Amino acid sequence: MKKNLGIITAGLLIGVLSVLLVKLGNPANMGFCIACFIRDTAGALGLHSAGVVQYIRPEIIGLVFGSFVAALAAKEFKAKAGSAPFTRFILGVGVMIGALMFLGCPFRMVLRIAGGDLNAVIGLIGFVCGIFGGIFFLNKGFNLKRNYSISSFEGYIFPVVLVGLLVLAIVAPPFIKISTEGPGSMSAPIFISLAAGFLVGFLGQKTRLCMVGGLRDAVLFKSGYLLWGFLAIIVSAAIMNFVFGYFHVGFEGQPVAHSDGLWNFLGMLVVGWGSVLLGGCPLRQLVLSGEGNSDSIITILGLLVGAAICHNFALASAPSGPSFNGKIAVILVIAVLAIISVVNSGILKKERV
Amino acid sequence: MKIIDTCGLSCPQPLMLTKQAIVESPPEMEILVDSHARCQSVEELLKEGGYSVKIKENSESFSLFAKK
Repeated sequence: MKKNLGIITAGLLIGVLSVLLVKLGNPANMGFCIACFIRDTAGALGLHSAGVVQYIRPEIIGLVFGSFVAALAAKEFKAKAGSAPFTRFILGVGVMIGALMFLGCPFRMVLRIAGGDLNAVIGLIGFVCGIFGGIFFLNKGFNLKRNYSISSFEGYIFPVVLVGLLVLAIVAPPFIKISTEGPGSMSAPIFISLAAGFLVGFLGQKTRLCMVGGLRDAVLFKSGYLLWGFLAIIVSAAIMNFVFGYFHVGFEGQPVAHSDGLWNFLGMLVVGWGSVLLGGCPLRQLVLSGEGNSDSIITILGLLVGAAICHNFALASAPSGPSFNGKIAVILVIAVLAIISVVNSGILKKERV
Repeated sequence: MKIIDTCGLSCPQPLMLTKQAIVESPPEMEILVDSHARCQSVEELLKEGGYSVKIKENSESFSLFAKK
């Protein structure tokens, strides 16, 4: 239990921070959402033109900075790349398509559960099934091969680019799009968002917090370590939601959510499965990018492009429900995940022998 | 001595390879990992598997020497 104390404390703190961000202006049950915030950032940069979801979210920038500083301080910053980068890019696109079908990444799923949104419980069931799918292929030998040390310069570029992005967020020149209505128009003050992101990134680097790693490691290694972080966020965010009167149990009328159970299930199934193949959830990818992992940066670019595709091709769900295009896309992504899983595990080789 | 190099692999491969090695139960093995966090979790798994562990820090990695 003693070794779990760090991640439990971090989880409790992150849950509190997440609800405080809502109190300070972020959309309800969206103190943090890696998928939504990358999607909003894609919109602000003009990569898609959905007017209600455009804003450079400082939480994302802060998160990478937090992990970067924690990694540097602990001498754990190492520039690395070369583990199936394009496969990871495609997985990033797929995970985003699943997340925007459900309307949230695993982090927001946790926060939605903590807000009483029962649709997110359906999402969690899909997420768990997706994780089991990923574990099945891990046990069959799934592996994206190793990465290699590269020049430190490569690892420093991403944080520097994000400094540039932060300047754009602060200065807000006319070519940066900022929503005037909808979720994109709702935000906590820039520097509070940045600081909250920094803290989550710092804690995430220290504890290895990962939404998908919790269940994965519990099943594979009987290790509950990461699962404690996951549970701690739910507990503290739920308490904070009670305190502020944000806790409403039910399926209908939940903020930035829809109540189509099947597609909430399938969206999160895709996210769980894809995240296991990637070796970590979207939050973990951001933390790894701060540690100098360029494969994770490529994954984040996949998420970014995925978000643009989702809104340009009308794949993303709306509070009224999923779109026809989105349903087709999720089915296609499931097929792509199956192909990536089979090809990169030992299944085909064994059949040849 | 059995040597298992887990450097550069994504989660949870280093732990999976370690677990696999523990099942094979060699009297001695060396496991290479590339981060401090990995070092801790692999060490834990080895100890649970009944091994005593000595850790040596290399320039780019850690060597965990496990003995039954």
